[in-house]
Amino acid sequence: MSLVAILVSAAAPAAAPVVEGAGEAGPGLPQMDASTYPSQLFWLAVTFGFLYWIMTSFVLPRLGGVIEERRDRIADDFDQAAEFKRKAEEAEAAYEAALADAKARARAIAAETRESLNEELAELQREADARVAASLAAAEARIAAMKEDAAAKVREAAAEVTRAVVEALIDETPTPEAVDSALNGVAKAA
Amino acid sequence: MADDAGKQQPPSLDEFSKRLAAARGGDANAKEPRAKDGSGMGRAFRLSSELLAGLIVGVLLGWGLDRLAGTSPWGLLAGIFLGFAAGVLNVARAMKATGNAPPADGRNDD
Amino acid sequence: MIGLNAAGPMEQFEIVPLVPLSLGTIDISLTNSALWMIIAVAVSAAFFLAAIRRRALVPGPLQSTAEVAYEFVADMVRGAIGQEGMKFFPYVFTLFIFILTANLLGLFPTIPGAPHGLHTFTTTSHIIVTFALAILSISIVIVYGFYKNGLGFLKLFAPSGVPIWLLPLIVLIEFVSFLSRPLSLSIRLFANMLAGHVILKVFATFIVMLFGAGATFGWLSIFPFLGIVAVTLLELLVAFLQAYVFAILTCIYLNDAVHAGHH
Repeated sequence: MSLVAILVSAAAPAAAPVVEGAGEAGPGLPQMDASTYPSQLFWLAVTFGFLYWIMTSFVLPRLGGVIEERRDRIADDFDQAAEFKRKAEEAEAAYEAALADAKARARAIAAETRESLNEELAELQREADARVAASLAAAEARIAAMKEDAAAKVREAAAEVTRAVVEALIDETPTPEAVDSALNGVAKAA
Repeated sequence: MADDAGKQQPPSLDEFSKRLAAARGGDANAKEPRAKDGSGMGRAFRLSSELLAGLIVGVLLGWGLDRLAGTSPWGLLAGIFLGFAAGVLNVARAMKATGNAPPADGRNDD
Repeated sequence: MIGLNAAGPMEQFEIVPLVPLSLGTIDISLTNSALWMIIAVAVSAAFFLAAIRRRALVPGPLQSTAEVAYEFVADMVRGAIGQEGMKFFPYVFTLFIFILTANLLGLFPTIPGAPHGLHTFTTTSHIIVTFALAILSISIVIVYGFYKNGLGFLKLFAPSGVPIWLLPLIVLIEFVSFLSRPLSLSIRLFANMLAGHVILKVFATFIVMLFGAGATFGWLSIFPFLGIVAVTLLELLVAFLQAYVFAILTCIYLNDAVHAGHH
Protein backbone atom coordinates (compact mmCIF):
# COMPACT_ATOMS: atom_id res chain seq x y z
CA MET A 1 0.00 0.00 0.00
CA SER A 2 1.61 3.20 -1.07
CA LEU A 3 1.49 6.41 0.86
CA VAL A 4 -0.49 8.04 -1.90
CA ALA A 5 -3.14 5.37 -1.68
CA ILE A 6 -3.40 5.89 2.06
CA LEU A 7 -3.81 9.63 1.67
CA VAL A 8 -6.41 9.21 -1.03
CA SER A 9 -8.46 6.73 0.92
CA ALA A 10 -8.29 8.84 4.05
CA ALA A 11 -9.37 11.94 2.20
CA ALA A 12 -12.27 10.10 0.59
CA PRO A 13 -14.29 9.17 3.66
CA ALA A 14 -16.95 7.47 1.61
CA ALA A 15 -14.47 4.68 1.20
CA ALA A 16 -14.25 4.20 4.95
CA PRO A 17 -16.51 1.44 6.22
CA VAL A 18 -19.86 2.68 7.45
CA VAL A 19 -20.35 1.02 10.79
CA GLU A 20 -24.05 1.30 11.46
CA GLY A 21 -27.16 3.39 11.00
CA ALA A 22 -26.69 3.14 7.28
CA GLY A 23 -30.40 2.47 6.79
CA GLU A 24 -32.41 5.66 6.27
CA ALA A 25 -29.66 8.27 6.34
CA GLY A 26 -28.80 8.72 2.72
CA PRO A 27 -25.73 10.53 1.48
CA GLY A 28 -25.41 14.23 2.13
CA LEU A 29 -25.25 16.29 5.27
CA PRO A 30 -27.08 15.05 8.35
CA GLN A 31 -27.70 18.76 8.93
CA MET A 32 -30.02 18.87 5.93
CA ASP A 33 -32.27 16.07 7.16
CA ALA A 34 -35.41 18.07 7.90
CA SER A 35 -37.05 15.17 9.74
CA THR A 36 -34.79 15.84 12.72
CA TYR A 37 -35.69 19.53 12.89
CA PRO A 38 -38.81 19.39 15.09
CA SER A 39 -37.04 17.38 17.75
CA GLN A 40 -33.97 19.64 17.69
CA LEU A 41 -36.11 22.77 17.87
CA PHE A 42 -38.21 21.37 20.68
CA TRP A 43 -35.25 20.40 22.81
CA LEU A 44 -33.44 23.62 22.01
CA ALA A 45 -36.46 25.57 23.25
CA VAL A 46 -36.68 23.46 26.41
CA THR A 47 -32.98 23.56 27.28
CA PHE A 48 -32.38 27.16 26.28
CA GLY A 49 -35.50 28.26 28.12
CA PHE A 50 -34.41 26.36 31.21
CA LEU A 51 -30.95 27.93 31.12
CA TYR A 52 -32.52 31.37 30.67
CA TRP A 53 -34.73 30.73 33.68
CA ILE A 54 -31.79 29.61 35.82
CA MET A 55 -29.77 32.62 34.76
CA THR A 56 -32.48 35.23 35.29
CA SER A 57 -33.88 33.88 38.54
CA PHE A 58 -30.74 32.72 40.34
CA VAL A 59 -27.40 33.35 38.76
CA LEU A 60 -27.46 36.87 37.34
CA PRO A 61 -29.17 38.64 40.26
CA ARG A 62 -26.73 37.17 42.75
CA LEU A 63 -23.70 37.60 40.55
CA GLY A 64 -24.67 41.17 39.70
CA GLY A 65 -25.48 41.78 43.35
CA VAL A 66 -22.15 40.63 44.62
CA ILE A 67 -20.27 42.59 41.96
CA GLU A 68 -22.29 45.68 42.80
CA GLU A 69 -21.70 45.12 46.48
CA ARG A 70 -17.99 44.73 45.97
CA ARG A 71 -17.87 47.89 43.88
CA ASP A 72 -19.62 49.77 46.69
CA ARG A 73 -17.40 48.18 49.25
CA ILE A 74 -14.25 49.10 47.38
CA ALA A 75 -15.52 52.65 46.96
CA ASP A 76 -16.25 52.68 50.70
CA ASP A 77 -12.80 51.36 51.43
CA PHE A 78 -11.27 54.07 49.30
CA ASP A 79 -13.32 56.68 51.11
CA GLN A 80 -12.26 55.21 54.40
CA ALA A 81 -8.64 55.20 53.34
CA ALA A 82 -8.94 58.84 52.33
CA GLU A 83 -10.54 59.54 55.71
CA PHE A 84 -7.66 57.79 57.48
CA LYS A 85 -5.22 59.79 55.44
CA ARG A 86 -6.99 63.01 56.40
CA LYS A 87 -6.89 61.98 60.06
CA ALA A 88 -3.23 61.11 59.80
CA GLU A 89 -2.54 64.52 58.34
CA GLU A 90 -4.51 66.14 61.12
CA ALA A 91 -2.64 64.16 63.73
CA GLU A 92 0.62 65.16 62.13
CA ALA A 93 -0.37 68.82 62.20
CA ALA A 94 -1.46 68.51 65.84
CA TYR A 95 1.80 66.83 66.66
CA GLU A 96 3.80 69.58 65.00
CA ALA A 97 1.79 72.22 66.84
CA ALA A 98 2.25 70.47 70.18
CA LEU A 99 5.94 70.10 69.49
CA ALA A 100 6.34 73.79 68.69
CA ASP A 101 4.30 74.68 71.77
CA ALA A 102 6.42 72.48 73.99
CA LYS A 103 9.59 73.92 72.56
CA ALA A 104 8.39 77.46 73.22
CA ARG A 105 7.38 76.54 76.75
CA ALA A 106 10.71 74.88 77.41
CA ARG A 107 12.48 77.97 76.19
CA ALA A 108 10.36 80.16 78.47
CA ILE A 109 10.98 77.93 81.46
CA ALA A 110 14.70 77.92 80.79
CA ALA A 111 14.80 81.70 80.54
CA GLU A 112 12.79 82.06 83.73
CA THR A 113 15.01 79.64 85.59
CA ARG A 114 18.10 81.34 84.39
CA GLU A 115 16.79 84.67 85.57
CA SER A 116 15.86 83.46 89.03
CA LEU A 117 19.18 81.68 89.37
CA ASN A 118 20.98 84.85 88.41
CA GLU A 119 19.05 86.74 91.01
CA GLU A 120 19.86 84.20 93.67
CA LEU A 121 23.46 84.25 92.66
CA ALA A 122 23.62 88.01 92.87
CA GLU A 123 22.03 87.87 96.32
CA LEU A 124 24.54 85.33 97.51
CA GLN A 125 27.32 87.36 96.02
CA ARG A 126 26.08 90.45 97.78
CA GLU A 127 25.86 88.58 101.04
CA ALA A 128 29.32 87.17 100.57
CA ASP A 129 30.65 90.60 99.70
CA ALA A 130 29.12 92.02 102.84
CA ARG A 131 30.52 89.23 104.90
CA VAL A 132 33.93 89.65 103.36
CA ALA A 133 33.79 93.43 103.88
CA ALA A 134 32.80 92.96 107.54
CA SER A 135 35.55 90.50 108.27
CA LEU A 136 37.95 92.72 106.33
CA ALA A 137 37.01 95.69 108.51
CA ALA A 138 37.36 93.60 111.65
CA ALA A 139 40.72 92.39 110.52
CA GLU A 140 41.83 95.92 109.70
CA ALA A 141 40.68 97.10 113.11
CA ARG A 142 42.56 94.28 114.75
CA ILE A 143 45.62 95.03 112.67
CA ALA A 144 45.38 98.70 113.60
CA ALA A 145 45.02 97.80 117.23
CA MET A 146 47.92 95.37 117.02
CA LYS A 147 49.93 98.06 115.21
CA GLU A 148 49.20 100.58 117.90
CA ASP A 149 49.95 98.02 120.53
CA ALA A 150 53.14 97.10 118.77
CA ALA A 151 54.13 100.76 118.45
CA ALA A 152 53.45 101.31 122.13
CA LYS A 153 55.54 98.30 123.00
CA VAL A 154 58.36 99.48 120.72
CA ARG A 155 58.28 102.91 122.43
CA GLU A 156 58.30 101.28 125.83
CA ALA A 157 61.19 99.12 124.78
CA ALA A 158 62.94 102.19 123.37
CA ALA A 159 62.34 104.04 126.57
CA GLU A 160 63.75 101.12 128.55
CA VAL A 161 66.77 100.96 126.31
CA THR A 162 67.21 104.72 126.53
CA ARG A 163 66.97 104.62 130.25
CA ALA A 164 69.48 101.78 130.44
CA VAL A 165 71.88 103.56 128.04
CA VAL A 166 71.64 106.82 129.96
CA GLU A 167 72.12 105.06 133.28
CA ALA A 168 75.14 103.31 131.91
CA LEU A 169 76.60 106.49 130.43
CA ILE A 170 75.97 109.04 133.14
CA ASP A 171 74.91 106.88 135.95
CA GLU A 172 71.88 108.90 136.51
CA THR A 173 68.38 107.77 136.13
CA PRO A 174 66.60 110.09 133.73
CA THR A 175 63.12 111.12 134.47
CA PRO A 176 60.48 109.50 132.42
CA GLU A 177 59.46 112.92 131.09
CA ALA A 178 62.96 113.51 129.72
CA VAL A 179 63.05 110.13 128.04
CA ASP A 180 59.64 110.75 126.63
CA SER A 181 60.56 114.12 125.12
CA ALA A 182 63.77 112.70 123.80
CA LEU A 183 62.01 109.86 122.14
CA ASN A 184 59.42 112.27 120.73
CA GLY A 185 62.24 114.34 119.31
CA VAL A 186 63.77 111.28 117.64
CA ALA A 187 60.44 110.16 116.34
CA LYS A 188 59.90 113.67 114.86
CA ALA A 189 63.32 113.68 113.32
CA ALA A 190 62.78 110.29 111.80
CA MET B 1 14.71 62.07 68.63
CA ALA B 2 11.20 63.48 68.56
CA ASP B 3 12.31 65.44 65.51
CA ASP B 4 13.38 62.22 63.83
CA ALA B 5 9.91 60.73 64.04
CA GLY B 6 8.47 63.93 62.67
CA LYS B 7 10.68 63.63 59.61
CA GLN B 8 9.90 59.96 59.09
CA GLN B 9 6.15 60.54 58.91
CA PRO B 10 5.54 62.79 55.88
CA PRO B 11 7.13 60.60 53.15
CA SER B 12 5.12 57.54 54.21
CA LEU B 13 1.95 59.60 54.14
CA ASP B 14 2.82 60.89 50.69
CA GLU B 15 3.44 57.40 49.49
CA PHE B 16 0.12 56.34 50.91
CA SER B 17 -1.75 59.05 49.03
CA LYS B 18 0.09 58.11 45.85
CA ARG B 19 -0.92 54.49 46.26
CA LEU B 20 -4.48 55.48 47.05
CA ALA B 21 -4.70 57.61 43.93
CA ALA B 22 -3.21 54.81 41.83
CA ALA B 23 -5.68 52.25 43.19
CA ARG B 24 -8.58 54.59 42.54
CA GLY B 25 -7.40 55.49 39.06
CA GLY B 26 -6.94 51.85 38.14
CA ASP B 27 -10.55 51.19 38.98
CA ALA B 28 -11.83 54.25 37.18
CA ASN B 29 -10.39 53.50 33.74
CA ALA B 30 -11.12 49.79 33.83
CA LYS B 31 -14.10 50.24 31.53
CA GLU B 32 -12.95 50.30 27.96
CA PRO B 33 -15.26 48.48 25.57
CA ARG B 34 -13.28 46.66 22.95
CA ALA B 35 -14.46 44.80 19.91
CA LYS B 36 -12.12 42.49 18.15
CA ASP B 37 -12.73 39.97 15.46
CA GLY B 38 -9.87 37.62 16.01
CA SER B 39 -7.83 36.04 13.29
CA GLY B 40 -7.81 36.72 9.62
CA MET B 41 -9.46 33.36 9.01
CA GLY B 42 -12.31 34.25 11.35
CA ARG B 43 -12.66 37.54 9.52
CA ALA B 44 -12.75 35.85 6.15
CA PHE B 45 -15.31 33.36 7.43
CA ARG B 46 -17.46 36.16 8.70
CA LEU B 47 -17.31 38.17 5.48
CA SER B 48 -18.00 35.20 3.22
CA SER B 49 -20.95 34.14 5.34
CA GLU B 50 -22.31 37.68 5.05
CA LEU B 51 -22.12 37.56 1.26
CA LEU B 52 -23.51 34.03 1.10
CA ALA B 53 -26.41 34.85 3.43
CA GLY B 54 -27.46 37.84 1.33
CA LEU B 55 -27.30 35.76 -1.83
CA ILE B 56 -29.31 32.89 -0.32
CA VAL B 57 -32.05 35.19 0.92
CA GLY B 58 -32.22 36.94 -2.44
CA VAL B 59 -32.43 33.65 -4.33
CA LEU B 60 -35.07 32.28 -1.95
CA LEU B 61 -37.18 35.43 -2.27
CA GLY B 62 -36.92 35.41 -6.06
CA TRP B 63 -37.61 31.73 -6.31
CA GLY B 64 -40.63 32.06 -3.99
CA LEU B 65 -41.96 34.94 -6.04
CA ASP B 66 -41.60 32.86 -9.19
CA ARG B 67 -43.46 29.98 -7.57
CA LEU B 68 -46.30 32.23 -6.38
CA ALA B 69 -46.65 34.55 -9.36
CA GLY B 70 -45.33 32.36 -12.13
CA THR B 71 -42.83 34.97 -13.29
CA SER B 72 -40.43 32.19 -13.91
CA PRO B 73 -36.91 33.35 -14.62
CA TRP B 74 -37.31 37.03 -13.75
CA GLY B 75 -37.99 36.72 -10.07
CA LEU B 76 -34.96 34.53 -9.59
CA LEU B 77 -32.79 36.89 -11.64
CA ALA B 78 -33.96 39.91 -9.68
CA GLY B 79 -33.49 37.91 -6.48
CA ILE B 80 -29.93 37.04 -7.38
CA PHE B 81 -29.19 40.66 -8.19
CA LEU B 82 -30.80 41.94 -4.98
CA GLY B 83 -29.20 39.19 -2.94
CA PHE B 84 -25.79 39.97 -4.32
CA ALA B 85 -26.25 43.67 -3.64
CA ALA B 86 -27.43 42.92 -0.10
CA GLY B 87 -24.49 40.57 0.39
CA VAL B 88 -22.05 43.24 -0.71
CA LEU B 89 -23.79 45.69 1.60
CA ASN B 90 -23.46 43.20 4.45
CA VAL B 91 -19.77 42.74 3.75
CA ALA B 92 -19.19 46.49 3.56
CA ARG B 93 -21.00 46.94 6.86
CA ALA B 94 -19.14 44.10 8.51
CA MET B 95 -15.80 45.51 7.39
CA LYS B 96 -16.77 48.95 8.59
CA ALA B 97 -17.94 47.51 11.91
CA THR B 98 -14.75 45.55 12.52
CA GLY B 99 -12.64 48.46 11.31
CA ASN B 100 -14.40 51.15 13.32
CA ALA B 101 -15.85 49.37 16.29
CA PRO B 102 -13.36 50.70 18.83
CA PRO B 103 -13.02 54.34 17.79
CA ALA B 104 -9.81 54.96 19.70
CA ASP B 105 -7.70 51.90 19.00
CA GLY B 106 -9.30 50.43 15.90
CA ARG B 107 -5.89 50.38 14.25
CA ASN B 108 -4.77 47.58 16.54
CA ASP B 109 -7.02 45.11 14.80
CA ASP B 110 -5.63 45.54 11.30
CA MET C 1 -14.88 13.24 18.14
CA ILE C 2 -11.34 12.04 17.98
CA GLY C 3 -12.58 8.55 18.40
CA LEU C 4 -10.12 6.38 16.54
CA ASN C 5 -12.73 4.52 14.54
CA ALA C 6 -12.53 4.95 10.85
CA ALA C 7 -16.04 6.27 10.33
CA GLY C 8 -16.55 9.05 7.80
CA PRO C 9 -16.07 12.64 8.91
CA MET C 10 -19.80 13.33 8.54
CA GLU C 11 -21.01 10.54 10.76
CA GLN C 12 -20.27 12.52 13.90
CA PHE C 13 -23.07 14.91 12.92
CA GLU C 14 -25.66 12.21 12.56
CA ILE C 15 -28.76 12.56 14.71
CA VAL C 16 -29.61 9.35 16.53
CA PRO C 17 -32.90 8.99 18.43
CA LEU C 18 -32.34 7.65 21.94
CA VAL C 19 -35.81 7.81 23.47
CA PRO C 20 -38.71 8.00 20.98
CA LEU C 21 -41.21 10.70 21.91
CA SER C 22 -43.92 12.46 19.99
CA LEU C 23 -46.18 15.43 20.48
CA GLY C 24 -49.27 14.69 18.43
CA THR C 25 -47.85 13.86 15.05
CA ILE C 26 -44.63 15.73 15.66
CA ASP C 27 -41.57 13.68 16.41
CA ILE C 28 -39.80 15.15 19.41
CA SER C 29 -37.69 12.15 20.29
CA LEU C 30 -34.87 12.61 22.72
CA THR C 31 -31.92 12.38 20.38
CA ASN C 32 -28.19 12.57 20.92
CA SER C 33 -28.46 16.23 19.92
CA ALA C 34 -31.06 16.80 22.65
CA LEU C 35 -28.90 14.89 25.11
CA TRP C 36 -25.93 17.15 24.42
CA MET C 37 -28.11 20.24 24.75
CA ILE C 38 -29.20 18.93 28.14
CA ILE C 39 -25.59 18.23 29.08
CA ALA C 40 -24.56 21.72 27.98
CA VAL C 41 -27.31 23.34 30.04
CA ALA C 42 -26.65 21.07 33.02
CA VAL C 43 -22.92 21.82 32.95
CA SER C 44 -23.31 25.56 32.61
CA ALA C 45 -26.16 25.76 35.14
CA ALA C 46 -24.21 23.62 37.62
CA PHE C 47 -21.13 25.74 37.10
CA PHE C 48 -22.90 29.03 37.69
CA LEU C 49 -25.01 27.77 40.57
CA ALA C 50 -21.87 26.44 42.26
CA ALA C 51 -20.11 29.71 41.55
CA ILE C 52 -22.75 31.82 43.32
CA ARG C 53 -23.23 29.42 46.23
CA ARG C 54 -20.91 31.27 48.58
CA ARG C 55 -21.47 34.79 47.31
CA ALA C 56 -18.16 35.93 48.73
CA LEU C 57 -16.91 39.49 48.48
CA VAL C 58 -13.46 38.06 47.93
CA PRO C 59 -14.33 35.43 45.35
CA GLY C 60 -12.86 31.98 44.97
CA PRO C 61 -11.68 30.72 41.59
CA LEU C 62 -15.12 29.48 40.55
CA GLN C 63 -16.87 32.71 41.45
CA SER C 64 -14.08 34.74 39.83
CA THR C 65 -14.57 32.90 36.57
CA ALA C 66 -18.31 33.45 36.70
CA GLU C 67 -17.74 37.12 37.44
CA VAL C 68 -15.30 37.46 34.56
CA ALA C 69 -17.97 36.01 32.26
CA TYR C 70 -20.55 38.38 33.72
CA GLU C 71 -18.36 41.46 33.30
CA PHE C 72 -17.27 40.35 29.84
CA VAL C 73 -20.83 40.08 28.54
CA ALA C 74 -21.95 43.17 30.45
CA ASP C 75 -19.15 45.22 28.87
CA MET C 76 -20.04 43.78 25.48
CA VAL C 77 -23.70 44.78 25.83
CA ARG C 78 -22.88 48.20 27.27
CA GLY C 79 -20.26 48.83 24.60
CA ALA C 80 -22.52 47.90 21.68
CA ILE C 81 -25.89 49.25 22.86
CA GLY C 82 -25.23 51.46 25.85
CA GLN C 83 -26.80 51.40 29.30
CA GLU C 84 -30.27 50.99 27.78
CA GLY C 85 -29.15 47.70 26.32
CA MET C 86 -28.70 46.18 29.75
CA LYS C 87 -32.32 45.02 29.66
CA PHE C 88 -31.18 42.51 27.06
CA PHE C 89 -28.23 41.44 29.17
CA PRO C 90 -29.82 38.24 30.58
CA TYR C 91 -30.70 37.09 27.07
CA VAL C 92 -27.27 37.85 25.60
CA PHE C 93 -25.57 36.25 28.59
CA THR C 94 -27.63 33.05 28.28
CA LEU C 95 -27.02 32.99 24.55
CA PHE C 96 -23.28 33.41 24.96
CA ILE C 97 -22.97 30.79 27.68
CA PHE C 98 -25.18 28.30 25.85
CA ILE C 99 -23.23 28.56 22.60
CA LEU C 100 -19.86 28.63 24.34
CA THR C 101 -20.64 25.54 26.41
CA ALA C 102 -22.05 23.65 23.44
CA ASN C 103 -18.99 24.55 21.32
CA LEU C 104 -16.54 23.54 24.03
CA LEU C 105 -18.32 20.29 24.86
CA GLY C 106 -18.02 19.29 21.23
CA LEU C 107 -14.22 19.36 21.57
CA PHE C 108 -14.12 16.57 24.15
CA PRO C 109 -12.99 13.35 22.59
CA THR C 110 -15.53 10.59 22.39
CA ILE C 111 -14.96 7.93 24.99
CA PRO C 112 -13.59 4.96 23.05
CA GLY C 113 -16.12 2.20 22.72
CA ALA C 114 -19.13 4.43 23.47
CA PRO C 115 -22.33 2.92 22.10
CA HIS C 116 -23.72 4.26 18.86
CA GLY C 117 -25.28 7.64 19.31
CA LEU C 118 -23.37 8.47 22.45
CA HIS C 119 -20.34 9.91 20.69
CA THR C 120 -19.41 13.50 21.41
CA PHE C 121 -21.83 15.70 19.54
CA THR C 122 -21.71 19.42 18.85
CA THR C 123 -25.23 20.78 18.88
CA THR C 124 -24.06 24.04 17.34
CA SER C 125 -22.80 22.17 14.27
CA HIS C 126 -26.40 21.81 13.14
CA ILE C 127 -27.72 24.66 11.03
CA ILE C 128 -31.24 24.33 12.41
CA VAL C 129 -30.02 25.00 15.95
CA THR C 130 -27.90 28.00 15.06
CA PHE C 131 -30.65 29.25 12.75
CA ALA C 132 -33.24 28.97 15.52
CA LEU C 133 -31.00 30.96 17.88
CA ALA C 134 -30.40 33.57 15.18
CA ILE C 135 -34.14 33.82 14.46
CA LEU C 136 -34.75 34.24 18.19
CA SER C 137 -32.27 37.13 18.29
CA ILE C 138 -33.74 38.78 15.20
CA SER C 139 -37.29 38.30 16.51
CA ILE C 140 -36.33 40.17 19.66
CA VAL C 141 -34.82 42.90 17.49
CA ILE C 142 -37.98 43.19 15.38
CA VAL C 143 -40.45 43.03 18.28
CA TYR C 144 -38.53 45.49 20.41
CA GLY C 145 -37.82 47.71 17.41
CA PHE C 146 -41.51 48.14 16.63
CA TYR C 147 -42.43 48.36 20.30
CA LYS C 148 -39.88 51.09 20.94
CA ASN C 149 -40.04 53.06 17.68
CA GLY C 150 -43.42 52.13 16.18
CA LEU C 151 -43.35 52.41 12.41
CA GLY C 152 -40.24 54.56 12.76
CA PHE C 153 -38.38 51.29 12.98
CA LEU C 154 -38.92 50.95 9.23
CA LYS C 155 -36.56 53.88 8.76
CA LEU C 156 -33.91 51.23 9.22
CA PHE C 157 -34.56 50.24 5.61
CA ALA C 158 -34.35 53.77 4.25
CA PRO C 159 -30.97 55.32 4.95
CA SER C 160 -30.96 59.10 4.85
CA GLY C 161 -29.32 60.92 1.96
CA VAL C 162 -30.47 58.55 -0.78
CA PRO C 163 -32.02 60.15 -3.90
CA ILE C 164 -35.75 59.50 -4.09
CA TRP C 165 -35.63 57.61 -7.41
CA LEU C 166 -33.13 55.18 -5.97
CA LEU C 167 -35.03 54.69 -2.73
CA PRO C 168 -37.23 51.71 -3.76
CA LEU C 169 -34.17 49.75 -4.87
CA ILE C 170 -32.24 50.63 -1.74
CA VAL C 171 -35.18 49.67 0.45
CA LEU C 172 -35.38 46.30 -1.32
CA ILE C 173 -31.67 45.70 -0.90
CA GLU C 174 -31.78 46.76 2.75
CA PHE C 175 -34.74 44.47 3.28
CA VAL C 176 -32.91 41.49 1.82
CA SER C 177 -29.85 42.47 3.83
CA PHE C 178 -31.92 42.54 7.01
CA LEU C 179 -33.44 39.14 6.25
CA SER C 180 -29.98 37.75 5.61
CA ARG C 181 -28.81 38.66 9.08
CA PRO C 182 -30.11 35.60 10.89
CA LEU C 183 -28.86 33.48 8.03
CA SER C 184 -25.34 34.87 8.13
CA LEU C 185 -25.32 34.57 11.91
CA SER C 186 -26.33 30.93 11.78
CA ILE C 187 -24.21 29.99 8.77
CA ARG C 188 -21.10 31.41 10.39
CA LEU C 189 -21.46 29.51 13.64
CA PHE C 190 -22.59 26.30 11.98
CA ALA C 191 -19.88 26.40 9.30
CA ASN C 192 -17.13 27.08 11.82
CA MET C 193 -18.17 24.17 13.99
CA LEU C 194 -18.68 21.89 11.00
CA ALA C 195 -15.34 22.73 9.42
CA GLY C 196 -13.38 22.34 12.64
CA HIS C 197 -14.84 18.95 13.39
CA VAL C 198 -14.47 17.69 9.84
CA ILE C 199 -10.78 18.67 9.88
CA LEU C 200 -10.27 16.93 13.21
CA LYS C 201 -12.00 13.83 11.92
CA VAL C 202 -9.91 13.75 8.77
CA PHE C 203 -6.71 14.00 10.82
CA ALA C 204 -7.93 11.19 13.05
CA THR C 205 -8.65 9.10 9.98
CA PHE C 206 -5.12 9.74 8.73
CA ILE C 207 -3.76 8.39 12.00
CA VAL C 208 -5.81 5.23 11.72
CA MET C 209 -4.83 4.73 8.12
CA LEU C 210 -1.13 5.21 8.81
CA PHE C 211 -1.23 2.87 11.77
CA GLY C 212 -2.99 0.33 9.59
CA ALA C 213 -0.15 0.62 7.09
CA GLY C 214 2.17 -1.04 9.57
CA ALA C 215 5.82 -0.38 10.35
CA THR C 216 6.68 1.28 7.06
CA PHE C 217 4.44 4.28 7.53
CA GLY C 218 3.25 3.90 11.12
CA TRP C 219 5.72 6.42 12.47
CA LEU C 220 4.27 8.98 10.07
CA SER C 221 1.10 9.07 12.17
CA ILE C 222 2.91 11.49 14.46
CA PHE C 223 2.20 14.23 11.89
CA PRO C 224 -1.58 13.97 11.86
CA PHE C 225 -1.42 13.59 15.61
CA LEU C 226 0.42 16.90 15.94
CA GLY C 227 -2.12 18.23 13.49
CA ILE C 228 -4.94 17.17 15.78
CA VAL C 229 -3.30 18.87 18.74
CA ALA C 230 -2.82 22.08 16.78
CA VAL C 231 -6.34 22.04 15.34
CA THR C 232 -7.85 21.29 18.74
CA LEU C 233 -6.08 24.31 20.21
CA LEU C 234 -7.30 26.39 17.30
CA GLU C 235 -10.81 25.01 17.77
CA LEU C 236 -10.77 26.08 21.43
CA LEU C 237 -10.16 29.60 20.22
CA VAL C 238 -12.81 29.27 17.52
CA ALA C 239 -15.33 27.90 20.04
CA PHE C 240 -14.91 31.00 22.15
CA LEU C 241 -14.67 33.39 19.23
CA GLN C 242 -17.84 32.13 17.57
CA ALA C 243 -19.84 32.37 20.78
CA TYR C 244 -18.48 35.89 21.15
CA VAL C 245 -19.28 36.84 17.55
CA PHE C 246 -22.82 35.49 17.84
CA ALA C 247 -23.38 37.46 21.03
CA ILE C 248 -21.79 40.70 19.83
CA LEU C 249 -23.68 40.62 16.52
CA THR C 250 -26.91 40.07 18.45
CA CYS C 251 -25.94 43.17 20.44
CA ILE C 252 -25.19 45.15 17.27
CA TYR C 253 -28.56 44.18 15.78
CA LEU C 254 -30.31 44.99 19.04
CA ASN C 255 -28.62 48.36 18.90
CA ASP C 256 -30.55 49.01 15.65
CA ALA C 257 -33.78 48.33 17.50
CA VAL C 258 -32.86 50.57 20.41
CA HIS C 259 -31.49 53.43 18.32
CA ALA C 260 -33.50 53.07 15.10
CA GLY C 261 -33.89 56.85 14.75
CA HIS C 262 -30.17 57.48 14.40
CA HIS C 263 -29.72 56.05 10.94
